[in-house]
Amino acid sequence: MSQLTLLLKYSFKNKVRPKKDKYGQEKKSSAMSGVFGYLLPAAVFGIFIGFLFFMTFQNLNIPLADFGISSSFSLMDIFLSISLIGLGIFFFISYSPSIIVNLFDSEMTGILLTMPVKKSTIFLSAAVDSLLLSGLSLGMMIPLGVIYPIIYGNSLNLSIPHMIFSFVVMIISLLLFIGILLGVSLLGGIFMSNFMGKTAAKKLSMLAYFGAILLYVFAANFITPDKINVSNAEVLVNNLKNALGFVLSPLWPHTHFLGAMRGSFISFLILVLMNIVIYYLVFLLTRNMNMISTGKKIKEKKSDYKVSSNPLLKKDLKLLFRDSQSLFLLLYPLIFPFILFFTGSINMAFISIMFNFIASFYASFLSVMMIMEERKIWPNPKLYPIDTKRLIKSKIYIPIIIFAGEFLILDIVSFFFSGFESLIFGLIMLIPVLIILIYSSLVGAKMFFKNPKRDVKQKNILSGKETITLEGLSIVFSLGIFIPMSALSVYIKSGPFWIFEKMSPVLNYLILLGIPLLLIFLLIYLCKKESKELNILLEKEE
Amino acid sequence: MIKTINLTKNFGDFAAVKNLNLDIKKGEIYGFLGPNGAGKTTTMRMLTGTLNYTSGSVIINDMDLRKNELKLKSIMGVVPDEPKMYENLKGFEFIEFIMGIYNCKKEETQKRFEEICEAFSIDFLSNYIGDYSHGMKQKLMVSSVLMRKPDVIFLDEPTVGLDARSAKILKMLIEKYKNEGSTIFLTTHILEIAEKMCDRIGIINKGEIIAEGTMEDLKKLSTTGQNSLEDIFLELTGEDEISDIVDEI
Ligand SMILES: Nc1ncnc2c1ncn2[C@@H]1O[C@H](COP(=O)(O)OP(=O)(O)O)[C@@H](O)[C@H]1O
Ligand SMILES: [Mg+2]
Repeated sequence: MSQLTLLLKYSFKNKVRPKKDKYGQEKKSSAMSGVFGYLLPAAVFGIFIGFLFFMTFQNLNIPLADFGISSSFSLMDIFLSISLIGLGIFFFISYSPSIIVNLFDSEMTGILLTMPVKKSTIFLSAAVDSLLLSGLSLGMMIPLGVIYPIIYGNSLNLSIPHMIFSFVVMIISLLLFIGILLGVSLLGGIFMSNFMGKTAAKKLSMLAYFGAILLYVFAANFITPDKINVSNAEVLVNNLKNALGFVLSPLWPHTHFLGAMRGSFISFLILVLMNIVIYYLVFLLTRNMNMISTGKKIKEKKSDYKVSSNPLLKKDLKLLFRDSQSLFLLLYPLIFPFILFFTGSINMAFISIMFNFIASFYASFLSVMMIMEERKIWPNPKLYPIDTKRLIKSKIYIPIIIFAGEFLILDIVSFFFSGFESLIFGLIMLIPVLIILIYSSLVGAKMFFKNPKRDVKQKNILSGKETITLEGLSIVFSLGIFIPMSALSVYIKSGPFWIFEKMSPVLNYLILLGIPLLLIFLLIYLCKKESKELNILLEKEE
Repeated sequence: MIKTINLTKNFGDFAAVKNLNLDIKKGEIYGFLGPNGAGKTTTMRMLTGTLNYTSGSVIINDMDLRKNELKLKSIMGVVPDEPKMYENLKGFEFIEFIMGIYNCKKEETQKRFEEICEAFSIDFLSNYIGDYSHGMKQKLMVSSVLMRKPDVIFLDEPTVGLDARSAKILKMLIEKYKNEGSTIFLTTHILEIAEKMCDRIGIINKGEIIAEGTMEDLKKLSTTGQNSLEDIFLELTGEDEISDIVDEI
């Protein structure tokens, strides 16, 4: 155990290694702020999902007995189980391969294997190390766990001390439940390491992200209460019976998690026992585990080489879509709006704000990641007969173009849900969306080159401070432009409201149209400035 | 073909390369020999346009490197000291990328590449580069350069990581390219390579050329009548007292 803490401590130290500033002074940067910056969008998402679940489940806390089914569970439990199964499976398929990637990718593994360190220790340290980035779905279980006792407790009219007690039980069972998920994923990782190489594992975790996205959209669609057909009672009861048998079967760990939260001591005991058995197995199996990549060799002859007319773009896109993290960042801004579409809250203004906030931050992040792909093999890209400035700048424009395309897709989808007006509004919004995307990507790239000697092995390339600055900029500009713009659209549609009733129409237009226009012009000016500064930094770069 | 005039590189206060004057003829194999940290890679990077120099100039094919960078880069082929390539590309995708970026004539280049693959027994092109060993990467890197048949070829310690067979094949390929008119600049710390392959050898130590010439010229320089390049090299780089050092240990 002390060896494990030692390994984790040094892997952590390696991550927060002080960076040198431009005067060569060592700068301390906190790892926590880096983690925080990365998880902020996930947290926004989690809170949003929490609210969504609360609104949905509140109305679903109907005991199944009301339908004539003999069970102590409620309708809410069925839907919650579906979400937990989905999240659990997603966690498993993304986390297990990522442990392998971490283990095989790390230069330390080879060195550690020659040292008198237990194999289970090496494995566990790789597992903890990779938890951070796969933790998204675990994070989403927390709001579910918190909401459950609130709704369930409310329905029982519990007293305050009772409520507190049930919260403590909830936290412990949540930890036990997460412990089971972790343990099962560790077992999965050990199993997969027998036949999977580094690249195959990377691909699998990429597929998992795809699966997750589909799942979110599907689940959000599915849990909408108005999708439940209550007109045909018999069919409904039958469906519920089938669902109950499957999603709340005692073979699922979450059944016992829910049981424990409802006060069943046996369920609680089962959770504890499951943990003990799983971790004992992990300990046993890691002892004779093969920790060196065993990817198999493909011997297939390539007969015709395809030379593209834009080899740089082709290569950049390949690398972008092959990296699970960047693929996820690319698709993430679409998930939110799609959930909104399916839950019926279709408001292009709100979608624009959410999309813009996420996309503009991720656009800069993606540019930096693409620049990092070249930095990993630096200075070799300087050998190409291409202007290095052009090489770098293409990295800025690719994410912008992709996100602008995504926004257009959303706009077209919104047309089918809410008509022509929404389409036009979205098209007008495309201009500020583009400008904000360009601006934040430029800022991201400039930040990178201000301090270009970064650790290529690290996942969070930008420091916490830089990340938060970028997020702040995207929030301020998104809100500053889109709130007046959407107010303007309401104003045009249904006349003056709120404080605008008391002001003259000229002043109203001046405010509602003036502020966004002013910000847009400011952004254009800032883009030019950032672009110039970036050019200067790139000239100096060697 | 390759000419430098007072080429100098400082890293802060430290002079890695000092007033280097090289003059390498077309069709020549020039060996740049020196101990670790002598400044070989630094020189190579300046000659290939990946490192800005502090002062002096580089002239390749009668053109100033600073003024004709892109034009010169397209006639150069460089095997850098580390075979770093995009890990998430497959071997053949990297080759396609290189063909595209240098605007190669497809049929001709592909034919040459396949011949080189045959010679090096490269059979891992459908795997991701990230899964290659160092030697596999080095072979791919060398082939991606040689398939283009560049006019000027730079190789930075090219045999590092190659097995004996592949190293031998590489040496034969370099001879062949030289005979077909390419100019070759290669750095090495392996004396045997310099001795057997190079038309002329420059010995660099602490950023300065301390001796230059054919093997015959260098032999004449030896004060103690040494005949092997190893002894001459150790004498010139001031490391001839190594036996004393070893005894101390
Ligand atoms: N980017 C750099 N910053 C500071 N010093 C460097 C840098 N690159 C190389 N050096 C120093 O320059 C000297 C020559 O290095 P190099 O050309 O790589 O030697 P070698 O002959 O082994 O290839 C070494 O002392 C090295 O430490
Ligand atoms: Mg070197």
